[in-house]
Amino acid sequence: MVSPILAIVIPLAIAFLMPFFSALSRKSVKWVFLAVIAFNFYAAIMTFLRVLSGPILVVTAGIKPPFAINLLIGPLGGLLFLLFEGVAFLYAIFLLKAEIKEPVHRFFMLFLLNVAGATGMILTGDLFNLFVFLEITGISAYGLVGFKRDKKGLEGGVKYLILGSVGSTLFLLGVALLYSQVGTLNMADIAGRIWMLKKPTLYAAFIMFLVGLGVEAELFPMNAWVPDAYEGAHDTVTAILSTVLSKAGLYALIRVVFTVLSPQKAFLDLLLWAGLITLLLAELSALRQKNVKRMIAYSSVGQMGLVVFAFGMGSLFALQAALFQAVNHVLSKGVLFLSLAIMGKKREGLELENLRGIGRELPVTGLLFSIGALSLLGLPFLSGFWSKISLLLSTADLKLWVPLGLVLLASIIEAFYYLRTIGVFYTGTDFRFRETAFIRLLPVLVLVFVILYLGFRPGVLAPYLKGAAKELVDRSGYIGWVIGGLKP
Amino acid sequence: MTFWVIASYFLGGIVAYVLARPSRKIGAFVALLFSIYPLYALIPALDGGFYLRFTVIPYYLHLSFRLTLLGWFFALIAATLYSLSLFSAYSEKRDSFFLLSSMFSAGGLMGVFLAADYLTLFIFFEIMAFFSAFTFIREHRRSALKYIIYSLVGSYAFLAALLVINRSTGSLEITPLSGFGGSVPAVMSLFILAFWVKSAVMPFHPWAPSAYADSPHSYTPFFSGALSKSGVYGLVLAFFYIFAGFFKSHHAFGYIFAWIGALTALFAGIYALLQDDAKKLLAYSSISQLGYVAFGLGLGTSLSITGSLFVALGHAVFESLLFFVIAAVYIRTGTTMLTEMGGLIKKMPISFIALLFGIIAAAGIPPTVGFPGKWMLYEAVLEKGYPLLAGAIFAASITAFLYCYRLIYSIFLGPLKKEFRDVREAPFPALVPLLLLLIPLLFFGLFPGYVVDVTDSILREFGYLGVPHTPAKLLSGLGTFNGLAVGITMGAAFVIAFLVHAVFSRSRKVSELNNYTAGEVAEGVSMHYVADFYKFIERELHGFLKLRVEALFNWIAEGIGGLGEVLRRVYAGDIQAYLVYLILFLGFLFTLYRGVLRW
Amino acid sequence: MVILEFFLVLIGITALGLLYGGIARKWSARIQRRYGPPFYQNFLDVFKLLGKKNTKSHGVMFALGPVIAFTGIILSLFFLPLGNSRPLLSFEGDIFVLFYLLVIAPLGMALGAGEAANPNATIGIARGLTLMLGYELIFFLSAIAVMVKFNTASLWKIVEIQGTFPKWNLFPFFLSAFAGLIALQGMMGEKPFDLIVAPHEIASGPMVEYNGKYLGLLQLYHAIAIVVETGLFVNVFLGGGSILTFILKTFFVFMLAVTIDNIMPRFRIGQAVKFYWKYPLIISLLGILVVFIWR
Repeated sequence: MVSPILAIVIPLAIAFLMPFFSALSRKSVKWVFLAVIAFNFYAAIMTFLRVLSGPILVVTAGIKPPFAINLLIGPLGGLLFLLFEGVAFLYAIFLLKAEIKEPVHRFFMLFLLNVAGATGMILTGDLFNLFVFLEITGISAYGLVGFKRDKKGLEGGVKYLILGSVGSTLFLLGVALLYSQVGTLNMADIAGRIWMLKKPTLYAAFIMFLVGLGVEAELFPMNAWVPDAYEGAHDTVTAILSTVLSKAGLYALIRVVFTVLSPQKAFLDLLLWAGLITLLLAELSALRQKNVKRMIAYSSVGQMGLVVFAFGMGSLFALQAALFQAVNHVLSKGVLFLSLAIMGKKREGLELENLRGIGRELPVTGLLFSIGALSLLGLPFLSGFWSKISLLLSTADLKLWVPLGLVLLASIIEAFYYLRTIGVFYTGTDFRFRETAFIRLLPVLVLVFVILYLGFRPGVLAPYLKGAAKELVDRSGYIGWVIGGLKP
Repeated sequence: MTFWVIASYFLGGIVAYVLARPSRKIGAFVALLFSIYPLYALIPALDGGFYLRFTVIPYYLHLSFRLTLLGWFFALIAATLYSLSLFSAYSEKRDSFFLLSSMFSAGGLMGVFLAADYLTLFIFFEIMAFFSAFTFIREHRRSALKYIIYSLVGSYAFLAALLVINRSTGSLEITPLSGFGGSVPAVMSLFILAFWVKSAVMPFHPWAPSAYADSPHSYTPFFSGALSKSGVYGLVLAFFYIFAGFFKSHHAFGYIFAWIGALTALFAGIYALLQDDAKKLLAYSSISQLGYVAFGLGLGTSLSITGSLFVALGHAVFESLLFFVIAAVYIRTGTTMLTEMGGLIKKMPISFIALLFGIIAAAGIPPTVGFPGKWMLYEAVLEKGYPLLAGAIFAASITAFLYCYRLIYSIFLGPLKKEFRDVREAPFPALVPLLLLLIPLLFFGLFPGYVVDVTDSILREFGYLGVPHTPAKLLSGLGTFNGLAVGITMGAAFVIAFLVHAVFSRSRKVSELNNYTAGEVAEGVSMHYVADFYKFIERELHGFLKLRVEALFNWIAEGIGGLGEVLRRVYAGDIQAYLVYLILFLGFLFTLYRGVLRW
Repeated sequence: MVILEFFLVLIGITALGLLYGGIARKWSARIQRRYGPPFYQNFLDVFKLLGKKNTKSHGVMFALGPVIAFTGIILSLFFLPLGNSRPLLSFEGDIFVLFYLLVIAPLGMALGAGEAANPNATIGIARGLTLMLGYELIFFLSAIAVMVKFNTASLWKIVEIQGTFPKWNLFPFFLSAFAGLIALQGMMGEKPFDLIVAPHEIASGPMVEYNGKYLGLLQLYHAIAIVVETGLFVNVFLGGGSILTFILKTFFVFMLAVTIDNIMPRFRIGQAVKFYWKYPLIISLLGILVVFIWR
């Protein structure tokens, strides 16, 4: 029995102890890091299993909500928690052999802060607390992006910093607005009193939240930092930005819109179209992109747009599809960025031309990359296919024919540039076999295994997705968990 | 059983992939074994179908399969061609990944033919498209991408159609559409687009020449002969089963489709004349043949549908035979360019004979498998009284003579090129498919009735009358065709002619230079008239040839790419711009909600 | 007995074709104010050629080419009604079969000539095949007008339905018949469409390398082809009658073609094809239109 709160506290604490470990032994840093993440993973598994039988309410300072900060882990939180920590754990393994610029301990410190922040964002039940974690995540991420201290990294980092700060400020404004009207910061409590809000306040708050959180959730036009930051950052950082961070931002947005503010039709429609425009614009931008990492960055934005689009549809079924798509995005992008990191070690630069024949040189990595990409563009019997088809089925259910057409168009564009990339990877013949160390392949292999497993048994996820979607739809249930029924 | 028909390919693909790594031979052999099993399982299933439904996915979706006669007909063709193509692939020393992807594409194709619901059909259609592209994406990225994008446009249109149907009727099962709420023509157009593209009927053909030309030579016969049949299968299913009610009550649709088919046959035939690459020539020829098929389907009488199915079978036999010959020739000469070959008849006699029969069938001359189908189509169009349509397909079949002759002449006749002085006959495995395909080529030409037995049952399933026939004889409303009679008379006539030839004194074999020029050929001057063979036609059709649908599609693709190039500038890399976006967006939102936000 | 009939027809028609050829040579000579060879000259030519001891061959296909050509034309002959009598071989949809069988002979010749490694031969073939794109289509379109009208695809039935003189298809289908006549000129390779052989340009094209018995065989093929091709036209447009009237009609049609041949220059191949795709095509399409109005 591990309290989920430890998954936030311990990384935070260890992060600040990193200089101390570094002084003790420079090599120990990454192992400490791995141990902490492993602990988090363990906590996530435990929590996930517990959530199956009912949501968990964690109360701080011994006071009942809504008067104190509380954590609430429902099916949605449990699922994302497991996903985040699992992926982070794989990245931690990957980082064991990675080349990291000195001072290494600071890198791991930032990384830990980032994980802790993201974890906090999905676990907390308090709006202001959410802001705090958003800041922790954001600031550590700015540091991580700029960590290489080269031109690209710094440029990306600064851009991210500026947009991120504006975003979190707006978010804070929104929180303040709500607080001024409702007088509480507990999400469930606000949700219960949302009727007190006048319509203009509600809409103004929504605008603040959408723009504020849209920066992290990579929604157009707040996502402009993404290509630069992704390209400039260390590979693993890119991976965690694309998988964990964007999902944390998305979670915050969805939580605020669905639970706190109540899903108005106008809000959902806006999400839908914002998602769609993000998707199309990102895919079109990726089409002519020569740098593979940047291309995948755009694709990542596009996928986020697709997920937001699906959330915007708002039906229970669509929410499940959206969550499924989000899970798949995490898996695929993890594979893509990590395998790209492996490839990047063998070649100078990640321009498409430079990567000619890399699939022959690194057959396993190439294959894994291909599977990740194919899953993303929906090859049957890979995990991505099922989420895409569920998404489209729910689109059809709501008779959204035009968006359906646009999503299909975006899929075609996506298929084109991914297949082109894969094609280039396998062009040419005279390449020596130089596969990388197994330990670096291991995380990618695990992710691909999950993709394949879900490809053949997508049903195993279904109950969890359903539970999570229900949590979002059923507002009063959520309020009830916090305010009334649940024993801490 | 049905499960294993499909699974055998996927399983075999993986096993062959693993085994082919250490030993190419074992890999190919194992792949062959796994590909023969479905044939073995399919052949006895002639009588009736059976229904098998199993749930792969314990989600809300399931896959279901059933064996219909139509599916069986095409599945058998596909299974046969695939097994044969492996012989050729063995000679070509194809690698393990080729075995994997080609096996998977064959499995996908089987899934398409055996699918009992739209989703299964879509899934296997996608698998087929992707893995067939993977067979050559490594060597020829451009054409593979072109192919896959055309396929995807088609299959996503199909996906949209299936979603619409599912939304309206609540079922994904492949049944005649009933209780559909929306616009039937619209959903039908979406539905057939995938199959239209796959059967490479104009105007959605531009992927085909490059894909057929660039795919591995041993794979192309299967690609052209069998994979394109998935398109025919889908069209048949759409016109006479799923949308049968609409199709029967809207003659104009069928008529227009018949014209599309006829013009495809004609235009593709003309394009075929002008190709310098043997595989491109055959690719256009393949498109042309599928034009006949589409034509017959559009006419929509029992005779024409039977004709179409027969042409589809014939096409599978002779077109793949021709492609197999090209593969065999390529093994020895290393080229598929017509202009680079010549005179190989002396070096590769077996390939020559196979090609000879292949072109006779492709030109539709009786008594080969190429004729009965065309005959039925002519009879059908005459019965309907559409003389112009008849003229169009007749013109198309004239082009078939033209390109067929060019093919055989350029490769096998004319003077032997110096560099091919020491060429030998193709290795035996590469000849196996040639020899085996000659059997159906002649047999079904002499006894077309055996095919019509099957097509009759298919037609009856769709509520059409069959075509009266005996094994050798076909009867239409207007006339009869007796394959055996033509065959026997032809044999007799040949004997007469040969006797005339044989009774007179023996001839003396002379060098090819001992001719009209009296050996006075200048060194380095080619006596082979191959380049610009039909220059006159090209010259006369200059204006017409400039009109290419491909240009339109390319323009659209370029447009999308250009749009991306422009829109990419949105991410200008300028932080000030980004902040402006953010503020503008805020402003936009406030404007959007101005009605609400008025305090 | 049946087999005897087959042989009788074969030998008879061959002789007839050779005779036609001989007369045509004489007739041409007269038009050109020459004396010309005797009318039986073609018989002499064929016997001489077949009897030649020193025949050269360029390969198996070269030798088989004329044989296939001969086979094809014999086969077509058996499907052709000679006058009112049923052809030796028939089934009711045979006109399409006949169209395809008619192609075997040129194809055989083309295959044989192709092996000769003589560009002249191949150029001739390329021209011939290209020309086919013109005349075959026109002939088909003019024939299909009749077929659609009578709703049959049987050549023999068409003959039977028309009956004798005033009821010839020529009159109601005069447009189609006219187009068909132009097509026939190309089919028989007479001027202005003689660019397949074009002796002055490509040294008699496909025939350039043939000698001895092969050339003899080709001449036999050519003789039968004259009767078959004109016979096809006669059957479609000039009604039935006894075998004698059939012979007379074919003779006149052939002589008409030869006469035109003598007073015409030669088209270039491009011009020829273009020509076919212009006026005859329009005429034959009008012919089809007539059928539709008439119905």
